[in-house]
Amino acid sequence: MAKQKVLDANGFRKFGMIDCVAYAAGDFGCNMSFALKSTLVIFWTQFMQMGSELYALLLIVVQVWDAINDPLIGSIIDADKRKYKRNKFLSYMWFGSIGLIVGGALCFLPFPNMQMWAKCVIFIAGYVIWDAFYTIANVPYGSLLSLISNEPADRASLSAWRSVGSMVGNMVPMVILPMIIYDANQNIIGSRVFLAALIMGVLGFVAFQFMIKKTEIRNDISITLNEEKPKMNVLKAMGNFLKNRPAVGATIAAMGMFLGMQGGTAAVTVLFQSFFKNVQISGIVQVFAMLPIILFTPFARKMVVKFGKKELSVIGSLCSIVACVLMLVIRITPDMKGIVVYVVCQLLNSLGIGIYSTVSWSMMGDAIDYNEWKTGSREEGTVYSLHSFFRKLAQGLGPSLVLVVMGWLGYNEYMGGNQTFAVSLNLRYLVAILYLVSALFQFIGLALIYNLDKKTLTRMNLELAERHAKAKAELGAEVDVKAVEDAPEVLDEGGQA
Amino acid sequence: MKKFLTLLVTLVLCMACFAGCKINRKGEVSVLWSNLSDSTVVELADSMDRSMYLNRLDYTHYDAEGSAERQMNQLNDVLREGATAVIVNAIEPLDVASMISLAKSKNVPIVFIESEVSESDLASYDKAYLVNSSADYSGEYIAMVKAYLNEEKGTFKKEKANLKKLDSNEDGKISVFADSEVNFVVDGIDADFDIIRADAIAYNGDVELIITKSDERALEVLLELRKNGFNKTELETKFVGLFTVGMDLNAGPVIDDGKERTGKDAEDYANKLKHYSIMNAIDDGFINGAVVLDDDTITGEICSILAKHYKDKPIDASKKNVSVKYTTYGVSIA
Repeated sequence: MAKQKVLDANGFRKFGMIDCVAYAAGDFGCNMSFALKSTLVIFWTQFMQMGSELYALLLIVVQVWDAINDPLIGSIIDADKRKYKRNKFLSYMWFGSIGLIVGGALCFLPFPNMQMWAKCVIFIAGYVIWDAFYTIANVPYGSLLSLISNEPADRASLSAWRSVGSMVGNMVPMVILPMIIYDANQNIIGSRVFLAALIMGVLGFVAFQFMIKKTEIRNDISITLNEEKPKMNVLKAMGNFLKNRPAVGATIAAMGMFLGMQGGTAAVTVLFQSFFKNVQISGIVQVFAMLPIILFTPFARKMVVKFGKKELSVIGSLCSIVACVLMLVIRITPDMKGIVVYVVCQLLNSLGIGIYSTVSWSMMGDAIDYNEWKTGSREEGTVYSLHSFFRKLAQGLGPSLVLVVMGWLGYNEYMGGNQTFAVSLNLRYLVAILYLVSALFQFIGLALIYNLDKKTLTRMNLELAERHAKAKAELGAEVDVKAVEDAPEVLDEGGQA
Repeated sequence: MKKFLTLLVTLVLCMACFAGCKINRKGEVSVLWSNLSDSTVVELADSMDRSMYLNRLDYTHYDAEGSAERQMNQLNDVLREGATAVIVNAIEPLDVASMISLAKSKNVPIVFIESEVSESDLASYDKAYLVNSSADYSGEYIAMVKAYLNEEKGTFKKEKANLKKLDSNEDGKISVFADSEVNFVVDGIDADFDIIRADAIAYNGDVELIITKSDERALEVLLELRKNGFNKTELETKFVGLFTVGMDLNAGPVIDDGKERTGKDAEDYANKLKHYSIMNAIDDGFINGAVVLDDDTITGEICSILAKHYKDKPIDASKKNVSVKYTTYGVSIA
């Protein structure tokens, strides 16, 4: 006898575990593609033998495309008013997932003997195509949550399971990939990276298909991906943004965070290749370093309520500073003992970064409230846009800048994973300094510029609540007056009003 | 909270200051190399950097640029300037006795690396040591080729995939040619595998496995093989097994496609060729393996002797004259 579907009051499949797992599968699918991004720099410099400076330049070019890509594809999807059999977003995700089967692999075509101009063309074309398909799949995915359920509890579950999907999609390749794409002599095997990208593309496709098949659209409302924004005067917007201290502080902190996280990828990989001579365990080390933040997240809310967001984030940044100073001054030897010391420092550092990252977006929300508090105007769109812009700038410029610095410190891509010890020692210090600079940025942004401590935040929220209540009351009184004025004349039997 | 933060910041600043107070012991050990233009010596020097760092020894490299006279002058200078230990990659064996005398007069330990030193010279000073690679690499060479032929691959069904790959004519036998100096390798594998000894290399696939005496010779053979369409890509089906001793030669000619290039392209390509070594050729599968100096063990032994000396710990008599076995690259031997 066929299993009977349990239906809710509106005739849809009752929300349950299958919805959560299906939604998680979507982010897993996205990460099957995204997880390889950190391998790009080593693949293109060491295997494809593209000069570091040239690669750094091309990276900036594609990052600019990356910034344009999201709103562009968002607009295309918004402009599409056709009727779809199931749902527009699911259809776009289906299309994106097909492209992603090969999209990721296009960034890793293993032809090291091509002419340099051909390599440049392939890099840019491959990245653009991959990025486009990724965005077509990923952008609608984010909005899907509100179509699956209206219930806040359901949405909270979906959000939590999304993180699970993201974590699994990130961690599994992070651990496994270094073990298979590097040979015993720490050199990257280009053909294996290409194959891994193809396999991950297929796995991602399967995950997406599962998600699409099992997703029940209970709330088929029209969602616009790109909010219609009033025309923005860029200079004025920038001026207002710079006057918003919390926004500036939170942005500097975020830029610092990405500078360390994204910028350090190449340096950390070469550190494991040439200094520790054990690149195969680099993935396990990175996953292990994420443990503190995973353990901290369940307590984040309570800690924020008790200490305040700014206070907690400042402690986090100080924690990172201590970790990075330790990483810089403690003797880290090129053996297993040194790896252990490095891991301990990274555990502490990632705890610090993680504390900030759990509250970073809500701090931006407070910055927008601050704007309203001080000027009477929220300028939500502008503040978020500029914050996102600077975040992307750091994500884009960070890896390029670090690659150039690596070149100055003697990194020679032609030597692959076997840089001289002197160069690998330079990179050992570069990694520590990079993370330290990142932590200092966070400290400066949060402790010295961001000025919404717990007391001030409480005062601001109270005053804003009073203003809103007053405005509501005034609006209500206006409505009453207007209602009386507009009401038709009521005449008595004598014809008097 | 404020007290905690103040304490934390103070602690951090103290640590930073402490870091700045590191005692400078630079130049304590002087390392005198024969010629840092020689790729073998460069590899040893790089390994020395790693071993010195691991053992917390401060040191300075000196390059004699192939001149025995310059090396003697360097030794005189460093001893006069107060070096507390000396490592010498001696150019001229006849100078060794004088070097030991000089070191003895300053009561400074002297360790020879990859040098020709007689037993009597070594015995003349209790703080004179010798660390060399073993003269005999036959065991490692035979073990390497055996390990390659015995290697089992396969996801579901394990088979000796390399043996199968070499047997291009599928007659169940492997035709082997070895340079006369390394004929012992063929003797070594004879009992374990069905082999046919070839008297000369025929670059037409008749010879399925070639054992060479040096990286220079391996490079010559590889270039000929590639001219005849063999060993051109990692996955090439036309493949002849090739092993060598040493991998310090530049193998750029192997991959040079001879195409005309201009500007940055030419510069990048020249760089690529310059840095393409026998090691890279092994990584890319054009050469299967090499028997090589175990640089890390050699320099590790030296640093361990000096570390004990600095800690006034007794140094075992067996460390007076250390012979380090060769290791392999490309194929692991147990």
